[in-house]
Amino acid sequence: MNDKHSLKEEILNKIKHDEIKMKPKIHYVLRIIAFIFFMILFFVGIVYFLSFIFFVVFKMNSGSALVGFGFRGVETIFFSLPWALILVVLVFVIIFEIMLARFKFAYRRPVIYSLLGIIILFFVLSFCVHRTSFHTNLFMLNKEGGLPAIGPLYETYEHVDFRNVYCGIVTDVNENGFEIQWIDNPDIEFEVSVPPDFIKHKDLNTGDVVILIGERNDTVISLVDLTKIDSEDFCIHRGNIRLK
Amino acid sequence: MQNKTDEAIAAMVQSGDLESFSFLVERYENKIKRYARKFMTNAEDIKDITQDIFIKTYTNIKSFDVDKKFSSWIYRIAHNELINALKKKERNPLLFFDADTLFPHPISREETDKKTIRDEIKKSINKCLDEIPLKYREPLVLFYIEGLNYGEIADVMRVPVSTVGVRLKRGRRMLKAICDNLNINYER
Repeated sequence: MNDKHSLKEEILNKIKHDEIKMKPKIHYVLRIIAFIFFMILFFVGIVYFLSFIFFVVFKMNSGSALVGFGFRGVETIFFSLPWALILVVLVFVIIFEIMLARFKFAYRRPVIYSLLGIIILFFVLSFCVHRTSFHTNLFMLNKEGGLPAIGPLYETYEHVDFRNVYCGIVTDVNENGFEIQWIDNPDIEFEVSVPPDFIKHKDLNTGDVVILIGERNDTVISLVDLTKIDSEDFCIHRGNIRLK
Repeated sequence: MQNKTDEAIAAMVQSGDLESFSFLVERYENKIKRYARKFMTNAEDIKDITQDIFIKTYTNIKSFDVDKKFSSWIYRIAHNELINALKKKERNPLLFFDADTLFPHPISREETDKKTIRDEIKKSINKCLDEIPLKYREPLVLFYIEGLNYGEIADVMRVPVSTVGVRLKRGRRMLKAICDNLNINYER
């Protein structure tokens, strides 16, 4: 009983002598504001970087043209993804999830629900942003005068190097293969060796614009697969990168 | 003051009636000590941590929402203080993504044990609890000894409600195994 009284008395004494003080309400208000501010910051950061990844792969580098190769094309896109940016997004998502877990609606349910929920939300929002001209405008702004802070990001990822992928215009077709010329640099030509009967099946003609996957050995490319495209977007600057 | 709820007393403290805090200490001192005793054995440590918990409760009382349950809030503070103290002692950090909290579990229904069964388990907990890992020990204590429901335990431990159910089930199983080993009667 004595012990009980002593604890109560001890605490009351500390309160009376101002040894312990209540933190003012403003302390919690500011903490909540700071917390919400950082949550918004991470939220915007995730949407920005994820939509930028979409922009880099599909708009700036026309990666969707590779989907025509099926599994091999998807595999090529996968290995050429900007993994450093993806890592940043993953870290941000984990931090965001930890912040979200402070709220009752999040921690009372299994983590997988909130995690899946925010991943779907971020993908949808980022895809929507990617469909707008937001990143294109920033890219153009950077081209014109240089954007502070984020400008180098647009320069670094302007050309994604899709491994073993080449693009050009067909200049000659023969029994053993064909020749292609870089669209933005007509001085560069490659000979492409193909498997038997390949030309017949693909109905390839001079003037066709093609994307091809193959192993390059000096000026000869051993073809693995090929797809014809209507737009030359994918090919712009791509030949020059391959020759570096 | 006897008729006032914990929340009403907390509101009085918030508005400047500092001495009313002693009523909250009076009401919760034994409960918090009993709760701490399930995690610590040293009497001095228990006394110190109980005092720390009440000091933390007082300094943070303005963050308490009087529309919510005071007991859940003070147990949350106690949980944090105890976990921090144990972490310092055992150097065994708890993971954020515990597998139990990651995925949904089918056993989420709150169990309504009969009073006699609850009393039996309560007795067993007092005898065999020390051997049970912390993450199963705590929900057992909060449910069978402190009388919190699944939702309140979820709020104290910040884990999904279904995880509380799973940990209680596993905890009871462990309790039975330990009691059997020690030849202590366990009815379930």
